[in-house]
Amino acid sequence: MARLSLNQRVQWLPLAVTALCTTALALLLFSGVQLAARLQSASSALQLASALSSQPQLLRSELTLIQRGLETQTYVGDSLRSLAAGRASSNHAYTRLATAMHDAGLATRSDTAALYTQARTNWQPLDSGLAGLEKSRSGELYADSAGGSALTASGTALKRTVDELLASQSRNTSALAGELGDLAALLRAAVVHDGQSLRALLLGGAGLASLLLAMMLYFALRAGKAARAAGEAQRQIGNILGTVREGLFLIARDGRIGGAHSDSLVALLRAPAPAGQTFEELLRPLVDEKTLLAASKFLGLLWKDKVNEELIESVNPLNQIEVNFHKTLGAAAEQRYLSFSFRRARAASGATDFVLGVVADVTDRVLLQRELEQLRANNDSHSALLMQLLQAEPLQLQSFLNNVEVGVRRSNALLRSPGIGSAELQHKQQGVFREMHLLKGEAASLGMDSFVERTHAIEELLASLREKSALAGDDFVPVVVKLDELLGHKQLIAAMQERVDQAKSAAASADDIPPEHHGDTAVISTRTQPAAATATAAAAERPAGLEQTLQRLAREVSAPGGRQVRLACEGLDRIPADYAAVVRDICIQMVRNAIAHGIEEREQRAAAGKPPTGAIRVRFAEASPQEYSLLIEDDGQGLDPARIRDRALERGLLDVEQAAALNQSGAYRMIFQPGFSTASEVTEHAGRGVGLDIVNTTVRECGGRIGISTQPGKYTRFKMLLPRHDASAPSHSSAA
Amino acid sequence: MTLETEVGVFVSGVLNYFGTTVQQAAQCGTPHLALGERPEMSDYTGVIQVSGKRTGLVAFTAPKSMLSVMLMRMQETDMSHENLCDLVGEIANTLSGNARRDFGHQFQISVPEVVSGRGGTLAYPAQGRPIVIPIEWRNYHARLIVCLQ
Amino acid sequence: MDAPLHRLLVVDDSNVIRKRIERANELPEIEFVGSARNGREALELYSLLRPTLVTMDLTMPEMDGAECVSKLVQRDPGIRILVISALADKLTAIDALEKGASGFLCKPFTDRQLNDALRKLIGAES
Repeated sequence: MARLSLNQRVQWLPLAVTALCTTALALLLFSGVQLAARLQSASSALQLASALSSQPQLLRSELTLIQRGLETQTYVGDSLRSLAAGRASSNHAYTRLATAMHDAGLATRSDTAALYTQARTNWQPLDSGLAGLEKSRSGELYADSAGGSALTASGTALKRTVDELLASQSRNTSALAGELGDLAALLRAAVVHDGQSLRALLLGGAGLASLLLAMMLYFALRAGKAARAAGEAQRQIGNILGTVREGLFLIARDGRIGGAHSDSLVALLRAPAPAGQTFEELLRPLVDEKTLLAASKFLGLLWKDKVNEELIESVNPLNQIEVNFHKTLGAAAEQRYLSFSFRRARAASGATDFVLGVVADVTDRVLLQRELEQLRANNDSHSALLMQLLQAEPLQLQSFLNNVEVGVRRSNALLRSPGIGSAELQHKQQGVFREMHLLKGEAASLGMDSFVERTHAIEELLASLREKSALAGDDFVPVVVKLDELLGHKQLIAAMQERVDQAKSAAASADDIPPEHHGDTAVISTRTQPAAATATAAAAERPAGLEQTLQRLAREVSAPGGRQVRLACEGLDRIPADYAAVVRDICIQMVRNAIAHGIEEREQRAAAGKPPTGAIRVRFAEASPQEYSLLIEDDGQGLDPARIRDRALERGLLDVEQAAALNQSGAYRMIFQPGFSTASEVTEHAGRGVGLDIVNTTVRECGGRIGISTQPGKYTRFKMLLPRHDASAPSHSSAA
Repeated sequence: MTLETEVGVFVSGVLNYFGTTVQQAAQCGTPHLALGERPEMSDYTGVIQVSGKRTGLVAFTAPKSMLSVMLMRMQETDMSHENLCDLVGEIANTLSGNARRDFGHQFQISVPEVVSGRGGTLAYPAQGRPIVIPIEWRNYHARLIVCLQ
Repeated sequence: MDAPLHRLLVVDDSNVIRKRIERANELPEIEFVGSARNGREALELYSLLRPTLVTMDLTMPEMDGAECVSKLVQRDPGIRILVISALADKLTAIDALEKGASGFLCKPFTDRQLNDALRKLIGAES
């Protein structure tokens, strides 16, 4: 604003000064010309007056000559002629003198005018006398007679006239000469005065001209400086526009885009320089009709002074737009996200002059956001699911699917229970975690990868919650959504299984049809399974299935860790139905633990003088009429109380004092604490340190006990005693 | 956009409403699924129906006592039935508007509807399992129910 | 400084919101003069109260906010209108602004956000 008015002043001042000087100079020159004209007239008047002042004397001399000539009867013709000429030239001179005096402005001056009139008056009688003289001259002046030459009558008359004239005008002529002399003196003074004035005028003119010249020089210099400054500013703006990453442009009121815009605009919009285009034209190839309409309307709002630009930012339709660029010579077809924002640029008057548009490419930001969402979305193909199904044993699968349902319901019941305090939320988190961990173990043992992934994802979520200092209810939103999804997945699998079973039984009943006609691996694998079994797919799982499950688990868990394991099972066929689920959960957990934490790697075992293959024994038995016993034993590295103590300290389960006071059996008990894990890496199989926690909780829920015996470097043995209460034993399904 | 972000939008919408309008934060209980049962309805329920990318409903249901105290926090002294309906409707309305802003045109969202009385039912989609998010505010219990397919 | 007094009319179909805006206003330059529950009522009240400032909900029964904005501006081109709505569709909001509203505030809002918006609204003229 300030800059604008300065610019205006700078332009206005030299113009005014120049105009003023030029006018003054013109006026000066004009009066100079006038003065010069007057001076010329005055000097010619002076000349005339000087000439006239000698005239009376001359005429008088001529008259005297004529008088003498007549007396001596000599020839007077020449004198008479010169007298006539003198009179005529005098008359002429008077007229010219009057004109010159008038031109010189002296005719109105009282002294000169008076002198002139006086002289003219005095000349008058002389003039008429001379005129009479000319008139009277007629015929011969002399007549020759005997007595000699004598004046004729006309000669006599002439002589008389001359005599009279001389007599009458002698005083007059001298007065006349005096007057004309005075006039000439006055005129000379006037000429001198005018000359002086003219000189002064010329000096003034010269002064003014130099002033004008100086002014012009000054302003020329100043304008040069301003131009240089403007050029520098222009260069800096050019630098900014050339380097800024955002597209900057100005939109005029008619919607047209200004010539100055940042270089990146062209690159961002993949369009030629937009100067002269309207913003709408620029936008049209980029957005759909509706957005275009909204954008033009929004831009229109910015011209309305009534609209507060800060109060409409939230409705900018170009805040984030998806743009699809077609393939061009320079670039491949591409989808980008652009963000436009607009600011009013106000002129000095306060009215909006331009709208400054800023466009930035926000593709990276948007894509990153999308990617994160994509990562969260789990997509697995149906064919992979089908393969899982076909590989699983139908009864096991059925049982597993039931357990998924039960696990989700239990988790949900836990979430549903009241309590939003931090401790309560952590408790819920742990509870759901246990459920998911169990399901994951079971899924892994069955090779149900799609369930392993899902339960693992929920575990991950819960694990991240465990680390949060201030847990809030809404942190569980992703958990419950994933639980819902897990349940949905279970339903999908159940429906698929049903279809597979139908196909299997159809295949079995149509045994005469060659398998190739089915064109499906499903048919080949069905051969191992009697069709009748699917019809009786009950909730209870046969113990033989558990042993298979454990063997498979042992293979899968030991394979990646470079361990070899031999699993020996005993009495698993004697597990009563009411303990089937519980014992199954415990076995899966404990066998996995034994491999992950107990059995050493082959080199380690060899160094310790042990056989390379680790041994795990699982034995279920009726210990007494009141109790069953479940024994799980491995010949691995045993429990190390010092390591347990360190870990408990590290995990914050104990403080230093408590740790110091911890005895051996206390240390062994620590491994049942939630959150305790001796495996430093987190993998699907080694778990997150809740394995024993789950076992402990489950055993306690059943009213049972756990005992540990271990020898470092030799073995670890867990012995669980479970009460026999044949009718009312808790199980998965009854707790749901 | 995944379902969990969508549910998250509604949850933070409700929490934001408390934070801004009554300027006292509400807490969110642990969300859970309504399995095999319809979520419990409280005295006043504001419902919006959703269609488009997903179909279903979003409802905010709250006891009279809670809404009355909210009104008091807003320095309203008139605890009439109309005002209580008005408030619960306004909350649903705000959720709907915010959802449209965040989800764009993926969803069509209905004008909010207010149901009063605990006996009312909502038109849940056939297959959906409603997610119930308890909202706790000053010892009062409200629920946000999200059921989208 | 002798700030001109602005006369505020609140238009919203929600009782609660109307009263809330009335109470939340803490600007000495703004005097609350009345509230209306829909566009029709707002026009009636306009003739009676001659407000200079209006907060306007968009979705209302009996003449919606956008129509009411254009009618109010017809009667008084200098009137300042703040549209307050849970942002449903940008085009709807732009439409209301095109019809003569001066700004937009998204629901839900805090008292402070409301006052900020009102301040900007009246500051816009000077």
